[in-house]
Amino acid sequence: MNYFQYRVNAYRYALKELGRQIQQFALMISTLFYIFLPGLVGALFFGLGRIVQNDSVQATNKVIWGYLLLQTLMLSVLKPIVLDLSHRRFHLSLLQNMFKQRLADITLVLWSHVLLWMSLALVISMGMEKVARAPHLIVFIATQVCFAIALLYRLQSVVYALLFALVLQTFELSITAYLISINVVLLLACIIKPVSFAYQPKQINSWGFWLLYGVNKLWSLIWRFAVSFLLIWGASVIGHERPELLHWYTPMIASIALLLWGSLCLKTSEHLKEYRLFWQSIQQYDKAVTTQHILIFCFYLLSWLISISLLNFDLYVLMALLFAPAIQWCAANKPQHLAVCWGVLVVALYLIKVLV
Amino acid sequence: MIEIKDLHKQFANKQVFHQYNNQFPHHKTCVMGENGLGKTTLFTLIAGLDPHFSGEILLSGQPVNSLQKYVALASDKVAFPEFLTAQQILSMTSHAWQCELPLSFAQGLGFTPFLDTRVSDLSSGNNKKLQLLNAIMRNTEYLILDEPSAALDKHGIEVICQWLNEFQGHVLISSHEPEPFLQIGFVEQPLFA
Repeated sequence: MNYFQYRVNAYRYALKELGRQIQQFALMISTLFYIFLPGLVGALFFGLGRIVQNDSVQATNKVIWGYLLLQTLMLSVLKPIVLDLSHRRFHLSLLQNMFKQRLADITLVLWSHVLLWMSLALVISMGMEKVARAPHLIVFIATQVCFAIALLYRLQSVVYALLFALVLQTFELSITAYLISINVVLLLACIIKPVSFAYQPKQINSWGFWLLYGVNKLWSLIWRFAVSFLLIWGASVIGHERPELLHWYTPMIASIALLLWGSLCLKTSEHLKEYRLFWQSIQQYDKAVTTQHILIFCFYLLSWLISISLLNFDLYVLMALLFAPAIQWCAANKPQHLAVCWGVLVVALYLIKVLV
Repeated sequence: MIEIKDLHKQFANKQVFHQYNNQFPHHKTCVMGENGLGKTTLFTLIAGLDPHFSGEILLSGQPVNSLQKYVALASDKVAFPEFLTAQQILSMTSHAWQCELPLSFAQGLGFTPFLDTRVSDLSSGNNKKLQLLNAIMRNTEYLILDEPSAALDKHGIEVICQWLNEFQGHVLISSHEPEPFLQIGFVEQPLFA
């Protein structure tokens, strides 16, 4: 077996493991939303279509930003698998230089890049003549590739570029200029030395403990914020097209955000249980539990406030907020029933909405 | 004296103690027993960290409402959050029990350079030192040290033995290498008579 064959085997094995781990969650999501799954795939192609042809340049730039954020989230999940992160030193023991390692990394990340494959499928279906009339699509594909590669080795540059791209939307730039600008920023940000967050106060209490937990598990906060924001963003884009349907979307967006933030209780409660004796030895266990719930509720409240400010506010969206304590309690104390509890509350919410 | 009366303790599928009675009358006791017999479980119960049992635990012949106030435990079972530094762990205990940081004892153990090290980055020997510091700093009348010499270097064992030799309270330890402790007056007592 040569190095490349090893990398492919490691990739397949880790992918299977990931599939096994998220099997239950995927089953839950597909059971609840199976009707909408083909629509979701269709919506992704629809979004790509909006990049190719659109009446509003600003709306296209918004869609582009959404796609780049989405690919960043998807590839971040796969990054440890693509890089075979737990065996990097083993790689070095097999190789004389880094070239083969980098080549394998980049090949695997592009292979894993579903959104890139969708863009390429669109290009093939359009044909060269039509593609020539939308050259920014090629620049967009190049941007997808650049962001994917930068994510592997310079995560912070991707974060900087996404933030810059968000700010850039306030200016009326052409699509190509917008894409080139964010690529230039991505390139420049790659040169900036990565900042490490080494916040270590001498004395801490239960609030400080959770702050440090957040700093150390930053990814679990970032992806939840990003997915919540992406959903709100997507609904906002669709809301411009069909504003009369917004009151149907908004409670669902608020409910999905609730599930995302509620599920954070699964990890934090697991963590508390793991160190329960330590917390009990300093008589702070109950306080740590309470602080955990207050902070998670605050995070959800922030997402909820963004959703009502960008989308719509009514009684049913407020109901989603009121469900938060129940979902958090369920995630912390009855994790095996979280999906059912969430499903029942969402169905109840929509039943009330339909019947009243 | 620590006295256990009619103790019942069961985990999901394993009964650890059933009508267990025992006394630890000596000031310095080394509890003997093979791995898995329940020494650590008993220590956790005496330290008041696990309320899920039936029976009585008496200190100096008296039942107490909050065992934690009187008993400090150093054990691998009391795991520390990995992303905190040793100093942060000690400061939390210091704040909770209004006691001073054991800086001079830390210096004696050679632990001072590791106070700003994260728990995840501590070696097993330094992790043990942190456990010992965390329990000793509370200045409780009763002290339980689960395998205090495990992973410690020779100097560390000497420092802890010297400290225990001067300690006036009650100490329960478990150790599979009890010789250094027996030399300073510890009495061997089996977990099950």
